[in-house]
Amino acid sequence: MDIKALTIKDVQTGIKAGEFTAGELRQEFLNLIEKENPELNAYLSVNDKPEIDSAGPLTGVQLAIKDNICIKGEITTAGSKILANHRAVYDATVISKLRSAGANFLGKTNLDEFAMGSSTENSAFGVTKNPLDHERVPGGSSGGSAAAVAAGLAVAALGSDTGGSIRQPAAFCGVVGIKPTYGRVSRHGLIAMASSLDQIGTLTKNVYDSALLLNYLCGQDTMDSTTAIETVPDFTADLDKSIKGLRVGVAKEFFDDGLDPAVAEKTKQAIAKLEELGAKIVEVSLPHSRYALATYYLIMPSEVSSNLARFDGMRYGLSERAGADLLAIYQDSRGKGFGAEVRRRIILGTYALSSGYYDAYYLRAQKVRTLIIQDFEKAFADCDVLVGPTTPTPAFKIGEKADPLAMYLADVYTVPVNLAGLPALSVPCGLVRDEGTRVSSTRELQNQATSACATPEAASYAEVATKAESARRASGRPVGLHIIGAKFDEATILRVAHQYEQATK
Amino acid sequence: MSMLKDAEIQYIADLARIKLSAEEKSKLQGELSLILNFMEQLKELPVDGVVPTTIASGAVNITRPDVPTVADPGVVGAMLEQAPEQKDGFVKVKAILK
Repeated sequence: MDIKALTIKDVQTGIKAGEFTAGELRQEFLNLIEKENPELNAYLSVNDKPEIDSAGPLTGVQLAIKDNICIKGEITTAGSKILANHRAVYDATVISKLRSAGANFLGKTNLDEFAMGSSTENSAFGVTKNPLDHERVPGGSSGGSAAAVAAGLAVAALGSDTGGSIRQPAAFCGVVGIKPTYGRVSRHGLIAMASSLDQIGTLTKNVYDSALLLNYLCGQDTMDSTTAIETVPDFTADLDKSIKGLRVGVAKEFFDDGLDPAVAEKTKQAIAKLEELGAKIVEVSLPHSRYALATYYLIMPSEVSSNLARFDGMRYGLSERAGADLLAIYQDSRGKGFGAEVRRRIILGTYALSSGYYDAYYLRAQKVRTLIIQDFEKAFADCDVLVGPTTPTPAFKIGEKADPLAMYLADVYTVPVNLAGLPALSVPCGLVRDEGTRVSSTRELQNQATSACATPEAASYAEVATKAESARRASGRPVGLHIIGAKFDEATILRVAHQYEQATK
Repeated sequence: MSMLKDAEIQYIADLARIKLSAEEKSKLQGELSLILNFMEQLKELPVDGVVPTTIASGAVNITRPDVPTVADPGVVGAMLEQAPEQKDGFVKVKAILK
């Protein structure tokens, strides 16, 4: 049995057949984590206390939980020094729901500090490595969860997505990641980043597992007043239904400048596959999507500056008490506790909300947000789902993006979805070859001579190069197909993804 | 490109209750000016009469009967224990009024 490849369905079957018990499986995973995590740094902490196995539909399902989701009694850092020793005093709603379904929690996974970032490089506890190529980032901010699932150190994982933080790492690590509709899943017990955008979702090895987990996660919660009253369907019910006749919208803006040609090619191949499966491809336009990044990077920091005001060194978390008065404790605790990106966003948000700038920045961004939502509403009059690339490039190298603006561009296709509150997922749609780094010096020179992008020549060089590389690096970097749905229509995007996945297995 | 002034950065850092070193201030000055310059593109769009969106779900105030609930004393105790200083079941802070 290959424990690393186990899906939720495999676990359910194995438990039922008596092949293993939940406790045995848990120990196997803990052994794996002990062996492989020191190199990967996917987990920040491991829950190795004995757990009571409770019977339920998810018995034996070993999950990794992003470290901004509270598990009672466990250290919950949000990837920040300010919460380095913080022990959660209650379970997040998603945790209690999964617990009562029988699931186990293996540990807490790494993230960019307070989920602010696209690579996990902003974590106060070190970067997570992409399991497919240890020189590259796993994406972020749910990079630890994506890496844990991709490396087989968990059956599945929970993440959170404010601007792409589930879908982008899913794409980079070659797993399935879904951000449900805003309001679908309770955020009670999720450490807040930007409350009009944050949503909890899943990272899994296949589409079925995502659909199944959502069945247990969704629903109204008295502890989160933004949860929706909409009824929760069985998300697995229609997965096997054909997508014949389904209208698949492709926005021309998704293929603008800045998209890696190799990613564009994989995405177009995936769209052709959907057409082959009977879907009707419709061209649509989202004219305001080019303003989404600027809009997002005003609204999100504004909400961040307000949400993170709670970290004051007085109630919990790091407290620097040498100063003379209360103000000094605030300033010193926050100055020392927050990392560079968090401080940058708090300062930016405070500026955008400050007197004299509110109308020019925050209010204007809120109005453009309306225009972006209206674009999606118009598009969904002509199609049932929208598809495009999840990210403009495959996984980049650790340390490659030193400029904050360059890093922000990694989210260009995912942020419009959060602004509009829509459900969306990323499903793997192939690999692009490496440009052939870390090979013989002759090869390096040849690669420098060809264009940086994957021209046919570069691809063939890489093809030669990969033969000389380890099997781990040989296969290339994953690309994600981004499937966006209408509000509360997770079922349809899951069905399209499942049909695509089954047809390309 | 317009640069944020040193005094502006200090004013915002004070509002945000974050202590910044001189080095960080000058780094932020450059970075924020670049980011704000990127935001200028939003000014191209006519937005007169557009209703601002605060929450994408369109949800409005949802009410429920005002039934008082008693918090789990265990949770209250555990939360208090997280505070660096406490007294008589309260979080103790430094004097606010001089």
